[in-house]
Amino acid sequence: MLKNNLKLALRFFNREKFFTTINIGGLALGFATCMILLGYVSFEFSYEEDIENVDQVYRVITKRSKNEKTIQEGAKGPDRLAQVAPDEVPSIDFATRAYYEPCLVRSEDKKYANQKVYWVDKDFLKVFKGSMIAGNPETALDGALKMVITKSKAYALFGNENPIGKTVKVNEGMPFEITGIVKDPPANTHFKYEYLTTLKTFVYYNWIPEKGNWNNNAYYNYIAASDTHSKKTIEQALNSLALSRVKPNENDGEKLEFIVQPIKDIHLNSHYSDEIEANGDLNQIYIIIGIGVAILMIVFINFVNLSTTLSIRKAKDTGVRKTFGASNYQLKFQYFVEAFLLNIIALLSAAILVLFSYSFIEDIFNISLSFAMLINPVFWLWAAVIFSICVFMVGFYPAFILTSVNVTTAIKGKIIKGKSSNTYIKKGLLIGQFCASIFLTIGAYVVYQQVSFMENYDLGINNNQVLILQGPTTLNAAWDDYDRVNFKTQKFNLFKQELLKNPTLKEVASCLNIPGQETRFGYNNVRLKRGEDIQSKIALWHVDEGFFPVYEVKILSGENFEKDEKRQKNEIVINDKARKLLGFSTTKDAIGETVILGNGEWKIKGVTANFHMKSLSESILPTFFANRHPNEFGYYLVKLSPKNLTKQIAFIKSKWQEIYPEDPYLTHFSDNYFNQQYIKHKQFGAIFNALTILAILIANLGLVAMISLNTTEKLKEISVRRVLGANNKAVFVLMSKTFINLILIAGCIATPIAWYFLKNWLNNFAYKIELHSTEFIIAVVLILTIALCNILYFVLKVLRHNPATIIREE
Amino acid sequence: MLLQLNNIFKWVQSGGQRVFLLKDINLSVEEGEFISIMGPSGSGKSTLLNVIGMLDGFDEGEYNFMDESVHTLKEKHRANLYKQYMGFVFQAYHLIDELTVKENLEMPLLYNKTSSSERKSLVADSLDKFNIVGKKDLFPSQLSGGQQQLVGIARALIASPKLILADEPTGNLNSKQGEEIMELFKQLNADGVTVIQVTHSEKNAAYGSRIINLLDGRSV
Repeated sequence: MLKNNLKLALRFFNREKFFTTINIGGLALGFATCMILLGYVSFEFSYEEDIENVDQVYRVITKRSKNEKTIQEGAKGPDRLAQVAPDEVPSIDFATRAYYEPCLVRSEDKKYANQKVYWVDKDFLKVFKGSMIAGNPETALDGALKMVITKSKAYALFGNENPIGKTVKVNEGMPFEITGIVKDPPANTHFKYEYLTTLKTFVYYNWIPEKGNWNNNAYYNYIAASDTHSKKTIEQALNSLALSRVKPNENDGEKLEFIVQPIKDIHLNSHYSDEIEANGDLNQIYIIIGIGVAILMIVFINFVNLSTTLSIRKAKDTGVRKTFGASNYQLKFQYFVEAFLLNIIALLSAAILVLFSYSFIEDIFNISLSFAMLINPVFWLWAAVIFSICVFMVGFYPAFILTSVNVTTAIKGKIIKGKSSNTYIKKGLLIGQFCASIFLTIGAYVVYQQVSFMENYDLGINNNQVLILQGPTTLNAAWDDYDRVNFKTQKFNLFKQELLKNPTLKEVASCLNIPGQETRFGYNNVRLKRGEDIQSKIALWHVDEGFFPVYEVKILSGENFEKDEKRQKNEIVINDKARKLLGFSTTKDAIGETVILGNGEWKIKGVTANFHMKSLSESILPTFFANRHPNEFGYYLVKLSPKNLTKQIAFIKSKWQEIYPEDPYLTHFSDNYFNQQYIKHKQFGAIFNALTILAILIANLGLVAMISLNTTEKLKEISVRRVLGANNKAVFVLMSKTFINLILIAGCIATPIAWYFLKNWLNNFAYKIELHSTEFIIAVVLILTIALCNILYFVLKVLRHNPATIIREE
Repeated sequence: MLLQLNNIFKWVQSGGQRVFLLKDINLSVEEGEFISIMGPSGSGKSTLLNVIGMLDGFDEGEYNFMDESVHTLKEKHRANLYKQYMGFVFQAYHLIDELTVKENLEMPLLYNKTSSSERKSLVADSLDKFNIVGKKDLFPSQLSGGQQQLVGIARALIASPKLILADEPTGNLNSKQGEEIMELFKQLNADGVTVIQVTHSEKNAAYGSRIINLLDGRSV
């Protein structure tokens, strides 16, 4: 019997080639999209899974507040915490600090800049368990000048030789002994280290004291708990620890608190300051899942509409079968065999499609997909159950229509019973489909607008043709090692002099951080010498006198720094936000005033206009600029002329190699660097766009089929009207009227929903576009136009027939 | 007595008025009869045939088929009754397009759950009897109208019904093909099958043993 059913199904597909192709094509595209999305989402949710006992590993978030007002809440915290936590809190087994610096690493014959070096404590490998390949996790990081490196870095530095026991030099030449090898961190971790070395080294060089304190926010703190359910206990214990060590009443009411964050939550749920990498956003994942569901809905609506209409076309056969004794059950069974076969063919096609396209998709959207769940039998069980439920759900209605035919009328090829409710349901489903298309179109358009708005926004600085050179790492010096810092500065002055000999190079500057980067220094309060403490987050930038000219920053009052050769003066330039914060009503009032920032007294020398140093998701901070040459790391900036860039860059490179022979020449353009902050948003925009186009395409496939069937149904009516004198326009109106109405209704439903969701999404940005009615109208018009083009095609097809022949055939 | 209709009425409601499709029809059919129903278009011939075939219901009256009172039976029993005892032949043949001749013949047997081996032998017998063995793997579209109707009749007979209901079986055929089909019905009737046909043609009606004339749903 089943064999017979299958045979029948295949013959039916063969007869209705056009609709079967559309049906399978739409389903396959939809299924493939959902598979890709499943891969994407499961990758995003798989973060940190490689860590052994991952459910016991936490990161500690540090929160400082004063008089109930939060001053700072960030991923970095005090360095005393990890030192005492395992002893003071019974449910913490191990803890480690981590401090990040992109460093220069050299072996005897190789040199790599910008390496991800993390400075950690000896228990690091016990917190992040399971990564060690060679070496002893107990001792590998115990002591100064020890280093554990990843397998691929070991290969890069030493080839196939055994790296254990060898020495590498870091930055200015610190010699590290390789004591262990770890696995390369997987793509799905927030913490992608390449080298692990010890904070003991800092102590060894006397850069930090052995014993940390509670008042800095310089280190990431990770802890390993003794079991999986003590998060609350640990948090309480750490907070009472903090309360006993940093007493608010002795500390001007400043309070230190900790939040214990499961390491698995970091990637999608953590948006504190000082995150190691730009984390994903759970909301965006939900939006993408939502779009996936919408596409699946569109696909299944296609399926229901097509199958229902085809059921009607099969009415005659169904009638005959009933006359010859077929029961409703037997007819439904036949239908479900067809439906399952169709869906399984589509599913297999989708799997093949995914197999061939996934690496391409990973590349263009810059995402990773994970199909690890495929080896899990439970996944297959669920997939099979959900798939069957879906097919039954979408098959239920067509099957009902199929079997509800009245035999005597069906044999004549007509269905009368159930017709009106049938068209209502069909129309309802089409409205649903149009809604989804319109919603996605509006969304794609708005997301695109917001991303390009951010990229083209007037930042208040001119980012164009600013070449950024990475400062010479081999000359790094401690901030109080004045001789070395001076040496570095003198070298830079020489470099600058040489560059400016070339008349096409307009300006050269140095700074510690560049626009688009987190500043290394920040304060939580500031005080006018003759005033009160003002609580606010404040950024401090180390720049020199060339910085403002390079970026063409407007100085509103006062003046830029003077070039100072010998002593660094305690002078600052502030931005307009800071001027307001300090309570000066005009920019002129601020000039010459003294502020106290940290332990230093600073005289205000100038006030600049506000400009963006960070992405537009963040507001401009009150900012102070100090004239300091970066004692370590830092960047050198060169403003180029717009023409002949290659020549200018070649010139800069030759000068660099002359003056800094030890340091690699590493550059990027400031505007590119700045726009990298939008990479996650652009990625989201690209995924959104692609999914929207796909959704419209699939919906359109269904629409073509519906219009085609509608035309066949109405062929006689149209012919009669034409014989009676209807012109081409009237035929077009007759055929498109229903669809236009449906799209307009869908527009009315979809636009308020889209408005609500997009408004919410835009709230993620401090600087955002306004929503106008244009976006909404454009989307509806676009969908309408696509539908009308399809209809037009079929109208032209109908008009080629001679109406007389059609009427005669009836 | 094979079947008996007593005072059968059937109507539809149209603009608040009853339009009668069948009006006070009385008919009894003995086993082995060959009855022709005649009348102009819209006189209720096909409706009567559908009522007899239980494909259509009626609003008033009694219908007894082989001593079962059809009007009191549940849908399911009624379906069993016609599945078992009736075969249908249509003007437009109504073969299933995507089934071969053999499969079209097999279809009713599939639905009444005849075993596979029995199906095979019944289909083989039937192909043999109607002399269409050579065509068994062809699809309906590859056959002429007469051949299609032959298959249609073979299909109607495959489950050995007591009664064949034929709705203008020669309506779509030319005169020669039509004659052959009528000869076939005559032959079947001689073999003991009861036949009721609807027809327009006096000539075809003459094949039958009795003619019922309808006009506006009424027997005249």
